[in-house]
Amino acid sequence: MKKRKTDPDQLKIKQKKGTWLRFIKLFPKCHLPVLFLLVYIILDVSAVNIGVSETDYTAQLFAGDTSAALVTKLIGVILLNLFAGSLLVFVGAVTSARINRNMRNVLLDKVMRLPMSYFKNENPREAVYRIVQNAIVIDSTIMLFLIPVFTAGYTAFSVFQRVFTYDWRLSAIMLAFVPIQIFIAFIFGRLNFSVSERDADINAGLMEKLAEMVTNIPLAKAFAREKKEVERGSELTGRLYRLNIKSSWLDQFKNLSETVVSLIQSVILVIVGATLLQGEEITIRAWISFFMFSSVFNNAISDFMMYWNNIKIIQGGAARVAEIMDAPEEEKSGIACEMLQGDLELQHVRFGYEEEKPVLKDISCTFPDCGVTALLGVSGCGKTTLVNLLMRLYDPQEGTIAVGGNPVSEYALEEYRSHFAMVSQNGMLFSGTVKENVCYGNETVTDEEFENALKRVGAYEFVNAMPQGAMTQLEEYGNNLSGGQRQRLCVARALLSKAHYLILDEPSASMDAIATAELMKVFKELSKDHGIIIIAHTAAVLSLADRVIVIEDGTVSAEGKPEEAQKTNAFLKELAGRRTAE
Amino acid sequence: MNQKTQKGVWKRTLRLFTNIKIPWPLYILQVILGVVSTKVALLYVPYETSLKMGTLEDGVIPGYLFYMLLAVVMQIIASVPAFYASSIVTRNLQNKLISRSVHLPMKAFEKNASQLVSWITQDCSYADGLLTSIAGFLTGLVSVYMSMDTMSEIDTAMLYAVPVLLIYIIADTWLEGKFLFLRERRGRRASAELTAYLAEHLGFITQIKQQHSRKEEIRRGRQAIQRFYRADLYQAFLTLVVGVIGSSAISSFLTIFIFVMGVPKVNSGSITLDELVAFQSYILIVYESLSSLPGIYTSLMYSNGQLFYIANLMSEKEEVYSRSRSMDIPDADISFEHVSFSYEENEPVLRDVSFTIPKGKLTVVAGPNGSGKTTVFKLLERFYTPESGVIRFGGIEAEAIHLQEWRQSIAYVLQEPQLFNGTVRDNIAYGMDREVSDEEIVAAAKLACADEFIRELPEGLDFVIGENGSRLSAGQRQRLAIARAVMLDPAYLLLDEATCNMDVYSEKSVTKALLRLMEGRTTVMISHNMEMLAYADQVIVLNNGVLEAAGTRAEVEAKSKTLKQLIDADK
Repeated sequence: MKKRKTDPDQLKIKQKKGTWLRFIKLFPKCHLPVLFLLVYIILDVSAVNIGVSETDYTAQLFAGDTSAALVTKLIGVILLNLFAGSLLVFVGAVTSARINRNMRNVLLDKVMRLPMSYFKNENPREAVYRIVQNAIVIDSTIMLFLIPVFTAGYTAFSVFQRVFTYDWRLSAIMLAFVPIQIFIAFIFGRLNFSVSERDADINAGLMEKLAEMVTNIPLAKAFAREKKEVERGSELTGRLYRLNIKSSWLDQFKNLSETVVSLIQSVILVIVGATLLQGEEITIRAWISFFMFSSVFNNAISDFMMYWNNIKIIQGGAARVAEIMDAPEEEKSGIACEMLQGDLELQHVRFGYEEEKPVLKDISCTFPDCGVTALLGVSGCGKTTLVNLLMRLYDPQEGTIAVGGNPVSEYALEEYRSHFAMVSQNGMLFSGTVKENVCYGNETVTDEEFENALKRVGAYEFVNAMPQGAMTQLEEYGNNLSGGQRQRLCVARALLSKAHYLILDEPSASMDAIATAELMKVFKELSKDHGIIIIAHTAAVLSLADRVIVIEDGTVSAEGKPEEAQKTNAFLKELAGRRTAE
Repeated sequence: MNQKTQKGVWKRTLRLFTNIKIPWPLYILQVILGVVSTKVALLYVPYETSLKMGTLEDGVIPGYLFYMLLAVVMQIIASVPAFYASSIVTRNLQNKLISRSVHLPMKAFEKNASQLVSWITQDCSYADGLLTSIAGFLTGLVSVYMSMDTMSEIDTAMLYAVPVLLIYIIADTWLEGKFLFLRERRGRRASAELTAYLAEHLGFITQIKQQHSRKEEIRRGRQAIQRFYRADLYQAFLTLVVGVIGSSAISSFLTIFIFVMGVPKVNSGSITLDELVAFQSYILIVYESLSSLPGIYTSLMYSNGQLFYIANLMSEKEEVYSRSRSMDIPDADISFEHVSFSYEENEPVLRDVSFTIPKGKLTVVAGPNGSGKTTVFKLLERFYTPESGVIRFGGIEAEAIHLQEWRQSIAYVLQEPQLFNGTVRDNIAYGMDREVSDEEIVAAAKLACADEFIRELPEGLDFVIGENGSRLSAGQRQRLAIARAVMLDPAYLLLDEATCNMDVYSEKSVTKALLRLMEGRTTVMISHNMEMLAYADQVIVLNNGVLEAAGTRAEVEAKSKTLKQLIDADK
């Protein structure tokens, strides 16, 4: 019976190991620049050997060999060392740049393929941080951990070999200190890690707060809160300051203890070496070489430990990258559907962003192949969620959605989605020209098609009135346009996408009545051969709609022709009441 | 970059330091401790040389160990004022920059908004580099003098290496400085660009999926990543050049020089081998001290690259908050007199607009999109100032009234409400100078028809609403913003499509609530909902930046074609 009990500590270790395993499995997926890495390693090994030769020749000189031949050799080696060192740094920087670029591409690709449900736990903006910051974790692992650890180990080994040829006792003392050095480094590595990990968390939290504060400055201005915000800011920077000081002290403490160890080491090396020298058991040249090599050896060992400790810094990033890379992607394969037509039929669909809190409890309704369907309901009732299910941004927890005789989940995802075009409330525009924004996602649009689309949505005039017409640069998020202008450009984009189903989320929300009325005419005309779904919470669309679906309390409370549904449905009556009261 | 602007950049960067408080005593301490460290290093050399060469006379080993320990201890002690100074300068600059950004006029803020975060959170920490290098310069001068004094005891001829070394270092520093400046600036720019690009695009992940534009996004994303990669390559190349000719090469050249000059002297017997070895150690100390001299130049260049944008921002003018008059006067009519305004040159948004907003009344501003309605509001908030014409408050020019008081007396409810990632309570109480009780918050929420949904939230008033209120629906966000305005109890209300994102139930009750709130207050409202005209005391119609009509509803309806169109379309 006892065997079945799992030790929680053991579980933890397993998980940790799992992280590394997952992380290492990532490597083949990262498109590493193998050739560059190979060249780098070869250069690296050569540089170590050149360094050892330089020390060796210098020792010979100091031991009294002042011949021109030796000095010439020495100078040659010094120059070679300099050159190899610079080249190594250069090749290293290029290799890093390539690793990082490749990794960022891989991560970007991955983020784009993740299902929406992944982002319910994580803000998409977090993904930005991963791509920019955490992407370097692979580079760090290779260039700051694997290779340097190898270099340090190789250097220590070469030096040890060299010293061994002088006298075995000298090399033995050198070796004896290695465990002590490793032990000290290990203790401090652990101490430092646990503190700095916590500090890094606090630091990140403070930075985040600071960032949000800065983003919200316009709000502060509107509410005349400048003074308060400055106070809040200085409180945050004050906390960052204290954190900085704390970790600096910790560094100094660590420095001091490392120094004490190396000092003790020097004492013993010097005393043993001096005794051997005075007893004439070793030559002056061996002594000089040993003296110089011992500091090279010590440096190599402490480098080794330092780089070894890097692994802990890498760990956090590695776990996060491994997590995102391992997250399941959207299922892509399925029935090909170059053409997709037919009614969208929902049967007993249930869905909630959190399992226990269904937004849609039991939805059964039909969105016809052609014509305008108005999807109505109070804000927050799940209209947008329902549409997200139609587009397969999420999968229903229960029930089915079917079109053309098949459940939608069986179609190839990308192709399926290409039959939908969505104009959302906060239209997606970004820095770039008007044309780039409108033709976004459709590279094959001709100038004529582009202009027609603008004309149809009533955007032609205002676009032409802009300084460079369609070539005018939009600011971030299209901030230099009004809400209605943004929306019209988004509708134009949807028109160009040639999708069969057009979904419009509150198309009139930020448009004036004249513009809305014009746009409605366009939709009406399009509805002859398109399925148009308009999400709304006002009655304005009812005159236009061929069909209305009302969502209330997670179920469909009315479905059918507007005139008929209006007679029985309380919500629609309420809406209509508002209109007649005018 | 031409000479002139470069000078301007320097001046601006230097002026950064006059703006912030600097812990001078800590920098002076750095100099003193630096000099002491050099002295210890010089005293250490003879012992080290003897030991290295195997000349083990009495006292060599203890002396060697003693000075070695002392050198390390000095190094640690010297670093304490350095990290204190650096942290203090960073903090002070951050505070200054925050205060500056908060007080910037809207125009300047919007220009810099997307990169401000990385300047404050990251780049500020580079500011103390320059100050540290000034301290290093003084330390270096004293140290060079002390070392040369010691070296002259061995050989004076080889001392000629020092001036040559200095010239080389200066030339090299100048060149490296140029490279570093370019490298840093390009690096920062590339990094900031990539972050901004990804932040903008990945924020739209839902829409990207909805528009099945994944491939397009990946293509563009890859382009941005590639640009960053090129900046990295450029940096790598500069590093190579600097490596071959730069500072890391100097110590190699120096060693070669010593051997070439010194070995013949040893062979001829004018100096001993021990002295040559000691000389090499000394000259490395000199080199270290010398290289800190032009460090001032390097770090100026270096911090220039990093602080360039911060310095630019600092040189932007702040909004002038304190004006000649207090708003401590009875409410009055606000009038626009021949006001014109444009965001971009030659693209007027408002053209010679004149009207009066009567106090205590409701004015509805109507007009198609892009007619300048929201701009009128921004001018009323005094985020911008008119290019020509004046806005008057009673008889006084608005520009003469203290800005803070002006904005405090106005509540602005926007089309897309601005909320911050905090609790419901904090968002409603935002803008209040005093502590606010829960009862008051609930009362405000009730008036804005927000209390019901707040009660249903898992943590009620303590519910954290997410970045920009992302955990709430559009209607809920708007009601929260209205509750915030209710809380302020302002004399003037600006409502920009305040009810446009609400469903029929909420809109009805919010309209009711707003009408209650408007009572006795001066309200200006932009609305697409033409039924609001029924409540209006005055209607202003704007079309394409020009005032088409102003007056009572009946008057305006008779005159304005645009209004008629708007009313017809809304039916």
